[in-house]
Amino acid sequence: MTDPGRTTARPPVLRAGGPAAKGSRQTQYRLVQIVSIMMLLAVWEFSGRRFGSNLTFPPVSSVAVALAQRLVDPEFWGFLWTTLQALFVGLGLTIGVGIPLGLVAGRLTTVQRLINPYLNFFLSTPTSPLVPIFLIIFGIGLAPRVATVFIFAFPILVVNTITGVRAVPKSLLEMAASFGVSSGLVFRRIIFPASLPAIGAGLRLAAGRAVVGMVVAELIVISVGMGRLIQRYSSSFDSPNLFAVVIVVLAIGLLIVRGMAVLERRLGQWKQITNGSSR
Amino acid sequence: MEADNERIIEVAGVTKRFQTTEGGVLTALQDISFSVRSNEYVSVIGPSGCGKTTLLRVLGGLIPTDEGEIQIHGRPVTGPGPDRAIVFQDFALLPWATVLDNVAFPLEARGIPRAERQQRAGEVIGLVGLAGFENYYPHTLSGGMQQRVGLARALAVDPETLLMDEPFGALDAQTRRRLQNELLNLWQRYRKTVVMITHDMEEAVYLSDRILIFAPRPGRVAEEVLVDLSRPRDEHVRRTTAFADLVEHVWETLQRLTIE
Repeated sequence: MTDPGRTTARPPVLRAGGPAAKGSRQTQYRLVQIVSIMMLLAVWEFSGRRFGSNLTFPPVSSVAVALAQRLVDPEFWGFLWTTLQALFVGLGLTIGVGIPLGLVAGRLTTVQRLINPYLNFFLSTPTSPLVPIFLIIFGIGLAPRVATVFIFAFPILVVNTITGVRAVPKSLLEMAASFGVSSGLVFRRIIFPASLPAIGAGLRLAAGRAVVGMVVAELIVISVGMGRLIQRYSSSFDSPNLFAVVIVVLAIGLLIVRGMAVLERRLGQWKQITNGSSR
Repeated sequence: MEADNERIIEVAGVTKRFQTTEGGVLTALQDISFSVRSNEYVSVIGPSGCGKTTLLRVLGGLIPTDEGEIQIHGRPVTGPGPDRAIVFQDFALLPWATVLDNVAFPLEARGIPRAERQQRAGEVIGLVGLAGFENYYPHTLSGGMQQRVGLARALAVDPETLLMDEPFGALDAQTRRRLQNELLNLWQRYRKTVVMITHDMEEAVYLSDRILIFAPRPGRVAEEVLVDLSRPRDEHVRRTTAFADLVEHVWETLQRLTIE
């Protein structure tokens, strides 16, 4: 029934994983990371007490207290929600427009030629100067911030999606042609799944840029949300609270990008496994 | 079997040229003419660069001819059709789809309802000896098993003609021989018209009724060898003198063509 050397085939589960030995190495890395973070915190606390103050560089303990106070403060959650709204709506728009546009541009060279200059422009030039323009166009409110997040995140997702579509194996398209498969089905069963790994990578990169866009919008022009808090605490020299808000912003970025990395792995599953095997 | 002598494929004066990157013209096929009868097993063998694969792609309707015409059942070939199915050298399986979904894919393209196409796919998967592997992904299977999936996918649409492009070329010698035997059994039981591209002389003699030996640059039919070994065949035929003589004849012809 089976070919030599493959009498016991592996179970049909799509799972990216390695041998058991990998587990213990992973715990080792974790341990090293925890130790390094604890050392950093210790150095921070020490230097804060020794050289800084709550007006300049605060010790980590004051920051922790400030962070705890902010986390029970309803006003803080309102500001956080304002910030996240722009991020989520902007990212949603990026995904909703970026992936379809990338899929179409990947297939139709004309469309790609048409949008390429704009993509290159937004990817290679600093996008921050556009924020005041958005403010003028869209007025104050959610719209200019969503536009900023979008313009930061959107080009990289489109470019990645195009790359994914372009990388679809020719042999599979020829196979589909030989069986007279309609272009709609080719798209659903071949082009879309084949580009998922690249789309996943694009989502991760786009999420990182979206967080940057979110911060830039609130910080440089539109003073709301986390950006407003950062400005408030820095102008009043309330360092512990300033640090606390910055930590929250960093945590948002980290969480979003990590979440997207998990999604990326899921979308790219077939590719990782295919590369891992002998073929 | 009364239709056995009907000419199902007629290739008449087919020429195919390609533009090379240097601006020149490569004649891949030069004035090719031959016919294939219903349920006949024809192999095409020749040195690399003789246009074998181009011929298969033209027969499959994947690329048009420049001159000449191919008729199948009296109808000119203008594109891929449900009467033909191709088995690809590199298997061309969807890595993200299970064996069952891979085999059912062309049926889905024909709008066959899900339950029916899964049942049909299940049947041909059993036929190629992969029962129990329906939910496996291609990468978990060996090359030989992957090509069984490729064969099952082609058989699933129940084509009149099976076009095979070096189907066992990517496999190791043992697997290749095992699959040759199974293909021979399947063909002897179910009978299809087969055009197989190969570079393996023993494979060509073992499986075929007729072998077209191609010459390179430009690709053309140099000689036609009738394989008059009795059917049904099995492994024993490989040890007969008639078999050895045929292989030797193909070898000598190929030698002569390469030296030319």
